[in-house]
Parts: sequence; structure tokens; C-alpha cells
Amino acid sequence: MSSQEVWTEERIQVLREQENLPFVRADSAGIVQEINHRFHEVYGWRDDELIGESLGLILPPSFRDSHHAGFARFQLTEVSKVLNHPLKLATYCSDGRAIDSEHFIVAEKKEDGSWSFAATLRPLTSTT
Amino acid sequence: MGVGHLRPHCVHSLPQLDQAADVSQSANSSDNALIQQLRQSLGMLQVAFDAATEAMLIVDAERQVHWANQAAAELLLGGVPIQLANRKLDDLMALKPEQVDAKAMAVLLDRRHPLPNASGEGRCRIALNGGEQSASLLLRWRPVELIQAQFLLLTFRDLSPDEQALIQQQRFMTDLTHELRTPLAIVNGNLQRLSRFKGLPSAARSRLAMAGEEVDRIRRLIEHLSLLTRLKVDPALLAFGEHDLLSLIKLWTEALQEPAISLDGLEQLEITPCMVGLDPNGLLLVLDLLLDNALRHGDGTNPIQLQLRRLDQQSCVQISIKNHGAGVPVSESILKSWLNPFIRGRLRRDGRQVEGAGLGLALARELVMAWEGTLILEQSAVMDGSLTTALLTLPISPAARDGEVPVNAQKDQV
Repeated sequence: MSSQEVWTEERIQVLREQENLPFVRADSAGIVQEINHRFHEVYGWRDDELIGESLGLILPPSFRDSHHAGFARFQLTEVSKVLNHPLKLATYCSDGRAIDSEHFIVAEKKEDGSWSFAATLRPLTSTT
Repeated sequence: MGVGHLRPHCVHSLPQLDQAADVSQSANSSDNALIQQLRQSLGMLQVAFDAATEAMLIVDAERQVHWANQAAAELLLGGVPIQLANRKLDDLMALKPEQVDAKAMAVLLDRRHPLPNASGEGRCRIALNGGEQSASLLLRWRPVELIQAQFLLLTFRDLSPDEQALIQQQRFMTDLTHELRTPLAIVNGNLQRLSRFKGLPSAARSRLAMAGEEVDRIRRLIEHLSLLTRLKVDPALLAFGEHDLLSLIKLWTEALQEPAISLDGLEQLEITPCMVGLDPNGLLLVLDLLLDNALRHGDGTNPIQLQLRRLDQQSCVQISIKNHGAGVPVSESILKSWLNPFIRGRLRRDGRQVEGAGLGLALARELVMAWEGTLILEQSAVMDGSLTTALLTLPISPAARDGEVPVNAQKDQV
């Protein structure tokens, strides 16, 4: 699916607020800019641990090569198959556990040509 | 980088502190440039791998996926490469080998076995966990030796149109052979019953004999064509093993009922077994085909000569079957063409010969090629015509070259 589809930050906002889903936002370099409180509750990450760090941190180490390669490819092509549809992936918690989660990732191209990325996550296994 | 080490020395000097800050800034900027460059290289690599139509996977000894391209993700789960990371191969698929020699392929997914240390390939289908089955694919595997561990690169690709056509042809021949075998047996049985009738005129008996020979020719044609097609698709269908060529040839010559054959060069090799890698039944068929060809095209007076020579310098052994024929030698290109299917040489016509199917030499060559050998034809002029030589060359097994003789040497039972 092409990333040039309609930017859905509003939809993300709705999802975040209505269903209180974990939320993460990153800049064009894949550096985390924001997480919400629910993200902290589910995956354990605090702002000071994650903001300013690579998005790869929230993926298990064995997934990071693939993440970095896919991210680097997107920067060259602006085409991705992971955007705008649910994607089941393991998500890495701050304590080292991995929780299978459904990621819904969207991307926005700003006026200056740079991209930013946001995702809501829905844990698929119990987090209690 | 650098700043922490610089600060204790320059804490009392503001200009020096500024200098350190400049160095730090410059280092950060060159780090960022390097990261940007690496990211671009990584992106380019991923673009290239994802553009490939071949599905590619790298797995570790536990058969866990470490890396995959887009084609692999689409083939195995209709998704994206990151979804394959860490997955066990046998959770994703089962391999259905389509060739006879499937043993090497069977261990690829079995984590109880170490990763293969040699490359290989074979045709297979993939059974996915959802129950779907792929079309025939060519699977190739290659060990990837990294410093920290061994990995295996697996690639899957669709068969080329030529390969698909060959498989269809093979299936057609298998079906055809199967369908024709029974009616041919019935026709043959009836002809034999008719020929046993007493008081048949000699002309009728002669026609019955001719019909029987034609039926036999059709049977052989179908069998040879079927085997030839199967060999083209899957040379591994032969039972490959190391065998002593000398004892196999002796076995063959002892069973021969052909008096017009002279053996040469066999005695000298008695003490040196010639171990070669082949299918023993396949070799006997090759010798039958070459002898049949020599008899058809021979002059009927000079004996067929069979020679065996061991060429130690070339690490190979040569079998030659020679026959005298009428006429002048033909050109090299015509000789080569005789090894192609349905090409017939000049037949010695004496009213008793039944024309061959035109497949014997082609089938013999295909069998020999499956053992990594060669089959060529040579002709030279002799006083009363020409001398044709079928020259079969087979590589001697590496162990036998080194002087080792396997324990089963000279014990071939076919």
C-alpha cells in the first residue's frame, strides 16, 4: 500500500482518545518524539527512556535489522507496505518482554518534504 | 565522543573549551553524515532485494528467519519482511520435494540436523500453514559462513517457461506410457497366439513376425522416450552409487548372447578396480543401446569390439564399442547429430533388420551425462568402409583415484 494515501492523524487522534490505545510518534529519522500514558502503562517505557531514541527500541532486537532496512528503503522510495493497515508485530517492553501487538502505522509528509510517523498499538495478549 | 576526555584539561580555559565544543560539533556532524550515508546504502540494498522476483531468506541453525526480502514475505505469509523475522521455517511452511533425490532437501527445515555445508537445488512445492500449496518452484540453498555463526540462504523462484514445458512433457509421457502399455501387451499377446497356429502360410507367418517386431519397436520407443524425458527433468532418478566398472562389464558380457563381439583390454584391468559413480542398471542399458546400435550399423562380418581403458592422467575410464560399416566416414557434425533424438544413421538393410527408434544413442548420452561422463561418436576410414567408435568416458571416483578400494568392489549384483 502506498504511503501517499490520505494522512490520518485525525483518525489516529480519535483512536487514541476513544479507545485509549498506546500511541507513539516519530520524526523523519525514526526518532521517537512522543508516547502517550497508555503506551507507558502497557509497555513500561517512560518518556525519558524512549523520547529521542530510535523507534527500533520498541521492537525485539531480532526485528531491528528488518526495521532499519525497511525504514531506510522508505526514505529513498517513500513507498511502504506497512502503512495504513493493521500489522501484527512483537513489541518490546522496557523490561525485555515481548508482547504481540497490532500496529496501525501512518505517515505524514510535511510541507518542507520531511515525514513524520505515528502508530497506535493494540496488544493482542494480556498485559496484566 | 571526545568531549568528556577534553573537558578536565580545558576547564580553566574558555577559548580551549570553545575549541573542544567545535571539535565535538564537527565529530557529531561527521557521525550524522556517516549514519546518513549508511542509511542510504542500506535503503538501496533493501530496494534491490525487494525488487527481486526470487524469494530470499536467511535462516540460522535453528531454522529461524534472520532476514527475508519482500518476495519471501509475500510467498510465505502475504505480508512484509519484518513479519518473517524470528519465525521458524517449519511454522511457516512444509517442503514437498518433486524430485527423486529429496533427501538433501528434507533436512533443510529439520532443526535436528545441522545446516548443510554444501549448496544444492531442487524442485519443490511449498505447503503453507493455511493449507495452500504453491506451484512448482526451484529451491536453491547456499551456506553463509559468518564469523559468529553459520547461516543458510534459501531462494525460491518460479520455474522458467522451458522448465515448466519440460515438466509438462514429462507428465504427458508418463501418462502416455501408462495408457499404451496395456493395449500393446494385448496386441503382442494376440500376435503370439496367432503365430502358434499350425498350418499358417509362410507369407502370413512372416507378416505376423513383422507385426510383432513393430509392436516391440513401439514398446521400446515409448519406454526410451519416457526415460529420456524423465532424465531431462530429473537426472537424480538414477540410483547413483560407486561401482566397479570392470565387474559390471563382465556381468554384462557374460549375459550376452551375441557371438559377434570381441572383448579387449578387460584382462589388464583385473587387478585395478575402476570405481565410478553411476547407476548399475543404467550402465547395462547404455551398453545394450550402444551394442544394439553397433549391430544395426555394422557390416555383419567383422566382430564388434569392446575395449576398456583406464586413463589415470585424466582420472577417467573409457569404454569404446567399435563396428565396421560400409561407406565412407560422415562429417563430424553428422556424427554429433546422431546423438540427438529421432536421428538415424545409415542402416545396413538386409531384409532382417528392424529400424531402430532413433532414440538409443540420445538416451545413452543422457544417462552418461547424468554420471558426469561423455559419449561421443568417431569415425575413420578403413580399407573396406568405415570404423565407427562409440566412446564413453566416465570419471573415476575420487577415493579410487587415491588408491582406496571400497569394500564392495567386485561384488556388484545387478
